[in-house]
Amino acid sequence: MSEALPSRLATLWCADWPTVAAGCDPDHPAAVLAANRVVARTPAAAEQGVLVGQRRRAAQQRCPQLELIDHDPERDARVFEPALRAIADLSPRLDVIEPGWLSVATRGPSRYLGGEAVLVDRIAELAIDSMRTPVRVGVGVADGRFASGIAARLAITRQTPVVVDAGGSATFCAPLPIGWLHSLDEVDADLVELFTRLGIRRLGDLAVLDPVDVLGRFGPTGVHAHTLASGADPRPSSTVDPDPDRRVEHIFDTPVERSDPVVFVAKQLADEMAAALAAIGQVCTRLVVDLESEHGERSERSWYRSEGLNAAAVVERVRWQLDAWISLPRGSDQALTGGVSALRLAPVDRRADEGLQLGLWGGSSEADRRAGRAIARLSTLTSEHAVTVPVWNGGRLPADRYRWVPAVTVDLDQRARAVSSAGTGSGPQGPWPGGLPAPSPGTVLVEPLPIDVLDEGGRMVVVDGRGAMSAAPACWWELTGDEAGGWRRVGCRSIVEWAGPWPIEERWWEPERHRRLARLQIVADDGQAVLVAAEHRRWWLLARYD
Amino acid sequence: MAASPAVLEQLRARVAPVALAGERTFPAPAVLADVLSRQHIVRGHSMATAGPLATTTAAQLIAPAVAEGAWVCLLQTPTIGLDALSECGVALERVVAVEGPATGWAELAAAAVDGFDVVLTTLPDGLRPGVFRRLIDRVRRRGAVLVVLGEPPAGCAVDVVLRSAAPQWSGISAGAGHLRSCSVEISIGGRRHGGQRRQRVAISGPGAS
Repeated sequence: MSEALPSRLATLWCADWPTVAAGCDPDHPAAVLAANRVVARTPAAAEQGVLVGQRRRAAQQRCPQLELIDHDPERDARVFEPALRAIADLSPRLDVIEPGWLSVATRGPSRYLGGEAVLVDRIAELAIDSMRTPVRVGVGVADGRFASGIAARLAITRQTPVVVDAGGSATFCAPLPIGWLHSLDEVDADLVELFTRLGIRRLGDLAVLDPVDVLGRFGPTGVHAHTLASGADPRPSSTVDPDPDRRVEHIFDTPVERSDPVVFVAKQLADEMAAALAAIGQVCTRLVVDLESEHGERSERSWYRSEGLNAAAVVERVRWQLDAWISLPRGSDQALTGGVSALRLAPVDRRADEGLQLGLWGGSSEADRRAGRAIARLSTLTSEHAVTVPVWNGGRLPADRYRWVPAVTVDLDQRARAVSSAGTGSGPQGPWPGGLPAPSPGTVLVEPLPIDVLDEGGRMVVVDGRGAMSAAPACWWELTGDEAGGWRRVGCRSIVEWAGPWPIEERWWEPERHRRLARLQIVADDGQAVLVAAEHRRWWLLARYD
Repeated sequence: MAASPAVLEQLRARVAPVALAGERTFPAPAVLADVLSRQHIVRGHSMATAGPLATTTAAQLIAPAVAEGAWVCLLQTPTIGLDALSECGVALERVVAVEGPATGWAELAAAAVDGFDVVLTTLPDGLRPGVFRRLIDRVRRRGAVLVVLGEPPAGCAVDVVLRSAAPQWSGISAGAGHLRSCSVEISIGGRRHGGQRRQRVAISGPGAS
C-alpha cells in the first residue's frame, strides 16, 4: 500500500461529559465518581482543585460542598443521543469513540457545506443546540484520529475551533507534551512516564527517533506511539479489504419489546463475531451496530475503540445504543414505536490482533484461561466496571497503595508487571520512606471512620505541627452523624498499647494536593489493633489489623 | 513407531479415572497445618474464618493455593487490605475483585465459583439458608474452595470454621516501637470437625526479629 495520508477527520469533544449528562450546572461544584474516584468534574469544582482520578475524600477535602454523583455510562450514552442524531443528519458515517466524543470524516460534508471552517461551526452549533443543558464543546479537524482528537480538546481551552492544515498533523503534534498519548487512551501511563524519564517530553522528540530503534527498545506499543506522534494514523479507515464479510445478524421471529433479550442475542452474535475474527487473527476496532424495529425505524451507530472491541465491549455498546434509542422522545424522527425486529453487527475496521500473542514460555494455564472466561461472564452479569483487578499505585497510607482497574481493560497475561510495577523500578518492594512496616492491616476502610481519641482526663489528644502529642491516648470513641448535624459518640474502647505518632507531609510542593497527617497504631483492651490518623484536628480510623 | 515409555505414562495420566475428592487438594499453609490436622485443603470444601483476626487467617489459608497458580475472586470485600494479602503470600496478579448489588450476590457467587479456584466473600445480610446451601453444592461439584469472612449465620453451615481468639500483639508499647507480630489462638470447628482443636499461631511481618 502506498504511503497515503490518513483520512481527514473532524472530532467533537464535550468537556466533562459525564457531569453534563448528569445535568450539573457548570457553576456548581459537582463531580461524577466511579469506584470511589473522580471521573469528571464541573468547571466550578475544577477551580477548587478537584482533579480527575482523585479519591472521594480527597476531593471532598478540597471542596466540602462538592455534589457527588454516581457514574452511569448508560446515562452518558442516552443523553448524548440527540447530539448524535443531529450530527448524523450532516454525515451518516460518524464514529462514536465514547459518549461525548465522536469523529466524522470531513470530505463529503465539508464540500457540501463549503469548507471545513463552516463544517466545524456547524457541528459545534448542532451539538450545543441539541443539548438542553449548557455544555462546552470543542471541534477540531486534522489528519488522523489522534491529531484530530487533540485538536478538539485544544479547541476547548482556546475557545475556538482548531483546524490543522492537510498534511500538517506532524508539525501540529511536535511541540505538544508526550502526555497526550495517555490522555487519549492510546498508550498506558507507564510508557508515558518512561518516555518522560528518558527525556522524551514532547511528541516531536519521539517522532524524530528512528522507528526501528523505537521497535527494538519499546516493542509494538512504542511503534504505535511513534506512529501517532508522527501524525500518522496507524489504523486508517480500511477501504482496501472488502474480502469475506464478517457481518453477523439476527432476525427476531417475533419482535421483542424488552431490551434484555436483545442484549442476550447481541452477546451470542458478539461471541460469534469475535470467534470468527480470532480465527483469522484479527480484532475489530470499528463496529457498526444496526438495530431495526418492526415498524421500519432504524438506529445505526458506528463505535470505535483503539485497543479493539472484545465480545464484552461489543455487548456494552449494543446496550448503550439500545438504551439511547428507547429513551428518544416520542414523535422525534426514527423514534422507536414497536419491538426490535433485527440486530446486525458489522466489524468495519479490523486489524491484526497483537494482544493475544502467547509467550514461548510460561504461557497461560488452564486456570488462567478459565479466570479470563469468568471475568467476561461476571462483566456481563454486572458491568465492566464492577469486575476489577488491583494495580500498584504507591503511597504511604494503606488506602493509596493500590487502585482498582476494570479487568476487561487489562491484559491478564501481563498482570505480574502491573501489580508489582517492577518494570518501572518502583514496585511494592521499592522504597516508600515513611510507609509503615509489615504486618499491614487486613482491613482498609474505603471511607475513613471519624473517631475521638481522648487522654486520661477525657480531653481530646492533639498532635502539633512538630509531631508531638499533647498526652498519651487512653481511649477512643467511634462517632456517628455528620459535619453539619454534629457528631455523636458511640462505643468506647480503652487503649492498652500504642505507638507513634508518625507524621507525614505529602506533596507540600503542590498546594492543591498537600496533605499533612500523623498516624498512630493502637491496641485496644480486647486485642484489636487499629491504625488511626490525625488530620485537620480530627481523628480518623484508617484501617484494622484483623 | 514405538512410543516412548514417558509418552505412554503421560497418556495414562491423561486418561486416568477421575481423582477422588480427597486427592483433589490445595496445599495447606504451614502455620495452620496443626490446627487443620492435615497437610492440605480439600477442594470442594467451604470454609469460614471468624474472630478478631479473621482477614489474616483467611489470607494465610488461601496463600499456598494461589502460589500454586489458583485464581482468587474477592466477592464484595471492598475493604480487604491488599498489602496484607501480599505479605501472607497471595500473588496479587491472580486476584480479581467483584462488586455488585447485595441482591445479586447469589448469582455472582455462583459465577465466581464456576470460574475461580478460590472465592473469598462476605455473606450479605438476610441471606436465605437455601440459597447458601445451593451454592455450597456448587462449590463441591466444581471443586473450588469458598472462604467466608466472618461467622456464618445460623442455617448457613460450612465444612470448616477457623475462629481466632483475642490476639496478643508484640513490638509496641507506650508510644515506642511498632506492631511487629502477634500470637493468637485459633480453634477449628464446623461440620467436618466435631472435635474442637486449638493451636497458638504466630503471625508476623517480614520485619519481625
